[in-house]
Amino acid sequence: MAAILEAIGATIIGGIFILTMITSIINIHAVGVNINQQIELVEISEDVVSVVETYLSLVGAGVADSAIISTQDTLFTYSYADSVGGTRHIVNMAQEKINNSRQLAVYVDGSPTPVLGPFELSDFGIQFTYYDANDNTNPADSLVRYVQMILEFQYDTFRDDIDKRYIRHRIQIWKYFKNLYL
Amino acid sequence: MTYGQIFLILLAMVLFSTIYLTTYNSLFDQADLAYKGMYLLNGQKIIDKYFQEIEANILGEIIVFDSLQSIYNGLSDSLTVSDVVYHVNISTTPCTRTGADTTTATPEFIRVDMSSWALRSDGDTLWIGMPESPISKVFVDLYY
Repeated sequence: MAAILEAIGATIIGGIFILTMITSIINIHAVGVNINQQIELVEISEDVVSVVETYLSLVGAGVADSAIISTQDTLFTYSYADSVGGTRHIVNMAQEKINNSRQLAVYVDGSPTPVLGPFELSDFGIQFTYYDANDNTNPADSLVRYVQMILEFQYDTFRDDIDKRYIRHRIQIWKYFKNLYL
Repeated sequence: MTYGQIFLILLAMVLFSTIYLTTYNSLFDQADLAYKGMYLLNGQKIIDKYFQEIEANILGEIIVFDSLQSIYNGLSDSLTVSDVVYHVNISTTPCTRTGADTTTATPEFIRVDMSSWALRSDGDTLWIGMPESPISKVFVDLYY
């Protein structure tokens, strides 16, 4: 009888120990995956922002007037030309809602297919703040000289069922439209 | 169960806990590096903002080139990104085209040095460009 009780006791203790080990290993794996996701998200979002900055560098290039077309919190429309007086292009940088999630997309010349994106954003999405040359916010479109753009990207974590959370990366950039200063 | 068996189980638990804690610690170090990288990127963008501002103001003739020194030399400012306050220190020095210091009264080139620091939530100070080795850019007087 004593031997049976000992065997049961040993099984219970061993079982608890093995369960603890397995849970710990899964937790470590989850943390490792989340860190990896965070690093990947930072890499990808920084790449995206670099391209967005390239598009923002074009604001007002080669156009004499109406460089800034629309300035809204989540939408920025502007124009540029291939050369001075050359073909004019209109760029639309917008936050869209696709399948209940906010997405960043950049369209050129009204094309239905974005040239950049869509990229999934968090609930925060995008926020544009416009400034004139004297750092005053929300000036008339013709007086806008630089923009502050805040974007927050997100990614899934290891667990997507219980305790669902997202990995996020918020980026804040400023872009001075040097073409409008010339 | 004998004392020997109990001892072996306890030994196994201690050994496993050691491996577990070491692995967890390494993972938190990795996470810390990732977050430090994010702070550095934010700081770099803030510094870039000031460089852009100077360049735009010179291009747009909003400021005269020589007044760069009176406006920006010794300037301190701060900006908040993702609830972290970044402090920026700016200094200017007349220089040659290669960025070496000169003492010319009306220089053709001015070097703008910037360093930034932020106090992280864990109390550590993170520098982006140090005062003794700042992030620098040389600006030229277009009308010299």
